[in-house]
Amino acid sequence: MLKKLKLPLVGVFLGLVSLALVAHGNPGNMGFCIACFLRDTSGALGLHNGPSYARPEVIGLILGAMIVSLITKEFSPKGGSAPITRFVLGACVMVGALVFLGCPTRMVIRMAGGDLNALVGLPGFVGGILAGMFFLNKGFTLKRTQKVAKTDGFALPVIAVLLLLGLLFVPALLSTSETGPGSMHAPLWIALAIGLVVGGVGFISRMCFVGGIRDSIMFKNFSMLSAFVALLVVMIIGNLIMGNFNLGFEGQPVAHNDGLWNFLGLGLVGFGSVLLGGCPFRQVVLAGSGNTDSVAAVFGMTFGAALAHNFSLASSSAGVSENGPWGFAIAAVIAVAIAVYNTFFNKKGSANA
Amino acid sequence: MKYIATFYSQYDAIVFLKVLKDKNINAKAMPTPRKLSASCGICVVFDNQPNSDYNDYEVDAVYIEENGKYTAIFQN
Repeated sequence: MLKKLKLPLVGVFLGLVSLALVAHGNPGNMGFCIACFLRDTSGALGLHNGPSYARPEVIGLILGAMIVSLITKEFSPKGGSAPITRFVLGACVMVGALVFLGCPTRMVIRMAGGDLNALVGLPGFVGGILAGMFFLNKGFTLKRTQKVAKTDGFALPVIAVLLLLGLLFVPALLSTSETGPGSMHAPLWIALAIGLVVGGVGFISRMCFVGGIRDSIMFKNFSMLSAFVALLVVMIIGNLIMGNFNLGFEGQPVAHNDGLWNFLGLGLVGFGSVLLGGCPFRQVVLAGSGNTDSVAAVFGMTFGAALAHNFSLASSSAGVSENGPWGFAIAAVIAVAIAVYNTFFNKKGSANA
Repeated sequence: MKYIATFYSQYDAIVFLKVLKDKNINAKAMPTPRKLSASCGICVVFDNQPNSDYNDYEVDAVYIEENGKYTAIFQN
């Protein structure tokens, strides 16, 4: 019984912490949005001039996943499965996420806040996953993951610790927005503590938004999806209690109402995430547990955020930017090209069909 | 008792599933049990071992599952 309840309980927990983060200062409906956290952190490092803040949540996520994986003896430095391709795919995923304005986690959180624009994005996300699964079923592979040097596995956690030390002792080194989403944040210790716990829980539960939808479609196994349903229900109730539920398309926090681009943006996120083997949340958690392929994807997403803001590809509450569709088209073409090449023209050394 | 094979890619799992079915071995694909892999992958569960070397396929590992316990019998 408890085993069956485990994943929904994870969803309930994620919902409660997302509500807590917003109540303590994070932007509306941001909750635990990985794309937002990585974008803000990218800005904090000076990679762009958009929303900037070294999000303690993402530092906590990485360190929480590392600590728990070390305790369970599952910390395993591995990688070498097309890291540069994963970096590029990560960047494409981020461009899609910033056209929509959120990752799959935030899609659910936005829906729970009554934001119907996110509901328009959902079929795009599922469509992207289906398109990615088509390539996976036809033979898409980024080749084997191998064991790598331990230092590789600890590199990202060390970077996370350095970021935390910077945030604590020399915050002037890191850019922090004075207005906009980057300026809105929960107190450091609360955000860090929540990040640590969510990182640990995320590692133990293997929670993955893409995996949930894939398992539901491929195997009619709804256990992972139940976590997101629980997250949605808890957050709807929480938002209703806190007076943050606003059903409609207009006036939603950090969102636009261009349906086509909400649909397409999340479509690219779903497509790229399937090829990467997990959603942005899962990539960060895996990266913390020593998977350097996921580190490459996380670095790619951070770089993608810089591209999106430096070249004005990212949307805003005002709508999709002028350059957004072009940036999206380039990212989508690159992602599809990677899928086609690694499915149909790169078979040597893969499966013995 | 049943056998569980894990893979490097979804395609490798599908290929192995087809091999087993062609040998009339009862097999199905499912999400990889949490205990076996930290990946988002899928695995293949089957009743009898095929009369061939697992090295012939892109199999990551094969386990025997008994009463919820997994014992590795092949690791690539």
